[in-house]
Amino acid sequence: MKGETVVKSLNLALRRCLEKDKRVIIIGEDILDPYGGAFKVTQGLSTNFPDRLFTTPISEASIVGIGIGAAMRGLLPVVEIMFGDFITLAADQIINHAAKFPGMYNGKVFVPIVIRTPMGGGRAYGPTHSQSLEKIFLGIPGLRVVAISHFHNPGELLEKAILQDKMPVLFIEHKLLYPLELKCYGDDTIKVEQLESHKHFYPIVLLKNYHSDVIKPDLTILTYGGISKHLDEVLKQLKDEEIWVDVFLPSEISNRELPPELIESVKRTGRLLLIEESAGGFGWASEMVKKLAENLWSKIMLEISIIEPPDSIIPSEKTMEYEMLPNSDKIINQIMEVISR
Amino acid sequence: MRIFRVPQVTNQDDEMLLIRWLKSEGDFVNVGDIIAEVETSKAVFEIESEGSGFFKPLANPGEHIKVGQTFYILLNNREEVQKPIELRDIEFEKNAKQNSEIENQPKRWTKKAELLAKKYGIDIEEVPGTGIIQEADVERYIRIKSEGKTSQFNDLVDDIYSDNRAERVIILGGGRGAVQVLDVLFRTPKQRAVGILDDNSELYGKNIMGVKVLGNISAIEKLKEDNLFDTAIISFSNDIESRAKLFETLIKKGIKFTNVIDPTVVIHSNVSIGKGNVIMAHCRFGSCAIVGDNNFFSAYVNIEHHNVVGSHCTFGPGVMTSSRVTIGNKVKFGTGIFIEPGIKIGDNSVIASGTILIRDIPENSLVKTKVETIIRRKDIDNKSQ
Repeated sequence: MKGETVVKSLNLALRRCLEKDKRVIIIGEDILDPYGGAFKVTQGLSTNFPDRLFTTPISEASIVGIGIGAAMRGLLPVVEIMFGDFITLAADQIINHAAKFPGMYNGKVFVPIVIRTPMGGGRAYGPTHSQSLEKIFLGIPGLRVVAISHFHNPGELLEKAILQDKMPVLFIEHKLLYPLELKCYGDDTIKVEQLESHKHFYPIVLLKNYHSDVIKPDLTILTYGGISKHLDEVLKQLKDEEIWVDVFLPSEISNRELPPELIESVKRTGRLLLIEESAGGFGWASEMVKKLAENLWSKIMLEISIIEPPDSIIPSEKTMEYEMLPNSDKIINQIMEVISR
Repeated sequence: MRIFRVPQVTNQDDEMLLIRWLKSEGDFVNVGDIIAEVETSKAVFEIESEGSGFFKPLANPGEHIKVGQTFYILLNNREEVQKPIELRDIEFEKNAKQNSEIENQPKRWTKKAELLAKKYGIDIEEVPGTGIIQEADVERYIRIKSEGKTSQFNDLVDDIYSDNRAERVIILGGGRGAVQVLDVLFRTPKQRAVGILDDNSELYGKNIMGVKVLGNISAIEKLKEDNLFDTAIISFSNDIESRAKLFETLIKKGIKFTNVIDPTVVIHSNVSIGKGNVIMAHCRFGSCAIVGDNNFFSAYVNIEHHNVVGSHCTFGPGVMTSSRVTIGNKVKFGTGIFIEPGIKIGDNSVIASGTILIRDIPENSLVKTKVETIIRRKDIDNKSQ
């Protein structure tokens, strides 16, 4: 696995699923070879599995609708939406159809569809190609939302979603993660641990920039998805300043259960930093804070800070976009301020 | 020679494929001339020259080039094109740029070190250490600064209500003698032990009954300078010579000594007692007795009325004098000794345990009574032979 990138991991997982299970099909725009998809996730697959990959016209509602129908009829469809910003076009299919049918038909039908899509900014693609819209699909009963990071094994997450998860899954891949090498085993600076939780179907990863058991961490960070791109730099700089942090990276972001390890960590540190890329609030971080308040109100002293973009559309100009979205400088500055209080 | 690097052609591509050069090595190019074709993830782009000069490429067609890597060189003479390029020069330029960026902020301490120093009101600049100052360096510095200052700078009561505050006593010697002395000091409200000094470095930093061993005996002068104690007392008593010598040395240095006297000690009228004496429980000093300095009295020693005791003597438990006895300096007494009235005992003598003195003892005498002997063995099943 040394040197394997996120996109490679996803590509290999799709290949494994196509090999293992005849019911797996892949549907999306421009996914066939030689182009192999806008972000190359499906590259090489149509060559080896010509009857299992389907290229489609530009209609996200139709793509997802067909996938839902196929899933209900016994296939395991993997549907690609080229940019996560376009998912709004399939919102009705996802929310009112895929998420609801198992419940409305009382378990007589399942919709084991996986809808894969890249989200996130940082490439100066503009306001309608850089958003993190997954938050509007959180809190839809019957729909699971999974977000990868390069500290998870994205291929394993995808394989689990396709072959094992009966629920419809919205599978979020932050586009800046694709070229990154996997770090599921950590490196010199970062220690990576997968947390076992029977309340989470997809794993939570815990990062530490210290290896000793006797060190008391100074801060707990809770974040997911593309923010993990900044964590390599952030954790290294913090280590140089002797600031020790626990970073919790859930993948199943639609799951509102707080892992006990998170409770333990915030009890020890007394400081929690949440980082989210979607602008405008009313997002995942808000729900996490609500759950913490439910669990811990008046039980511990906890200082909570949140890094999120201001209420604005994402600019096209590269430096303005960089200023707006969370980046490692912002994260470090916020942490320094919190620690100094 | 000017070095040019691979430009950022599109937002999303940090790496491109160099398809071909459109100029050859040695050609003269003008600024704006198309010199290369590169392929990004989406399309083929033409690269324009950013300057004028004689062209020398640094990358090969078919190579994947990264944004920012050295791409081509423009030279002022055609002849220079033939010369091999010193890679050193190219790397030097790159490193020079990097180094000048780094030199902006030489970091001398970590954030946590800075916060810790601030918390204790210490200037981080004065913390010693090699390389980048870390939290542990600051911790050590704080410890060193506060070591030795056991009680009294920062005493909320003693510093403000200083009239008639408890006397701060430093104990010299950290053995069993110190335990005895500490025991008495715990029982006297007007005196307080503030520390112990001992030449055994293994004791340094450890506590004896909650009182810290602060260093070796020579540290007493620094402690005096810092005004960390009022008086001293010597706790060891086995070696009279060293006890005497230490006392005299420190007196010359201006160290003040105190008396450590158990509350159960009975002192009658008109008794005069010098300095540096340790007097354990249930001793008695009869009227008009005169006692010198630096003596060590074990429990139950009776100094009768009108006795005179010199300095640097040590008494085992249960030494019983009668009236008008005169004891010189540096006399060592065992235990269970009885002395008849009016006896004079000369300097430097040793009186063994169990002796009954009925006549004067000259200086430098060793007085022994009959030694004990085993008169019979006790049988194992208790039958006598």
